[in-house]
Amino acid sequence: MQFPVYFNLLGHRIHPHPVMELIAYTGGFQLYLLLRRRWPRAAVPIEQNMWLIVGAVFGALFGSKILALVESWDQYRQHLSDPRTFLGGKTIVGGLLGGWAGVELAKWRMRIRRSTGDAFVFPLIVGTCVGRVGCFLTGLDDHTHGTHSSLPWAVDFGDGPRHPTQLYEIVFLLLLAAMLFVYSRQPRPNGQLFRLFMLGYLGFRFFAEFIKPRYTPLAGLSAIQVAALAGAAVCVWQLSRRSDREISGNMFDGTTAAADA
Amino acid sequence: MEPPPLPTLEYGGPPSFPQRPRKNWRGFNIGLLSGLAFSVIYYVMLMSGVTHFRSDSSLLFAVIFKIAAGVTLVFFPRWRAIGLGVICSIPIGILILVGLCFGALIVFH
Repeated sequence: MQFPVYFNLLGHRIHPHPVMELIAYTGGFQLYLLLRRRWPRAAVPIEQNMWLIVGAVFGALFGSKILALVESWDQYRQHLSDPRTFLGGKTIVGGLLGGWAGVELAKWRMRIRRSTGDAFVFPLIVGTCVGRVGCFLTGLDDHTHGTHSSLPWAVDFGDGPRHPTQLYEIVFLLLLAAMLFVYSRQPRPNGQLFRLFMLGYLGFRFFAEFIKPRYTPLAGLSAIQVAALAGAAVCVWQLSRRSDREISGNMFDGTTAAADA
Repeated sequence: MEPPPLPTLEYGGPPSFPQRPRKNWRGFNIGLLSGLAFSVIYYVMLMSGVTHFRSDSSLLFAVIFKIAAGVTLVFFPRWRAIGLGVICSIPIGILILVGLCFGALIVFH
């Protein structure tokens, strides 16, 4: 297999990364609309919900770009004279954390106090899996591959066998989705599903970064690892708090249990 | 003869956002997909040299156009959902079409 693996459409070669990202974003959002109808809580009015999505996507954009800049600063600083280079680069960890911050900012602005993230969990998982296929098909250019490895499933992206960390992430996300699916069949406190998803994903990314080439300026850790640790710590802290006790019901029976006192 | 009673004045106007959930989400979806389609088509035209703009500054044109269109639509309650969808398509379009994952430096030819 030669990387990047281009798609062939009507005689034109199309790069896989933007194609898979486009499918990821649009498909993920359609899944969100579908799940939202089945989720028992409709606690946030529609217009406010849309503004939350605006907050999420702008937060994701800034978080993704800023963390990518910090993560690869050793490369970016060599091109400081060309501002266009700062357009490239993005990270999912930065996108998730930035999107979360964007939503919290929008909620603070609109005085919404309840958690709103649960309905985004499975769309985020599906979208990330699809996007990672694009990362894998892009190969070395994407910088999401692992370090060199002699394992039997290592993939040669063009410079020798490496850990296919994109595929590891897809497998992990599918397992996480299955666990969260089973977990969500019972009524759970509002917001818990989202925090468990974030904790699981950030934990995975923290450990997966050890088998990826990375710039480690912070006590042997990369910027993504530091951000993942910080995000996971926030999730643990919020899960241990019992202030947001409203039970949300589950996704399948269309009922809502009474709020906790 | 008593004068007829004065008509009551209705101070309450129509809601600022039409309360039709499915139609609103459909509008948001239309705005989002239209915005993304515009970005994709514009980007493809730019990269294939169909347009005559310099590629390093003309990326901004699509963003500025969508900001203007989205913000304008938001001011009209009937079109607000579409406007919000267009606004959402701006960062998503940038994430999809500009650059690869972290560490990759964009190169213009």
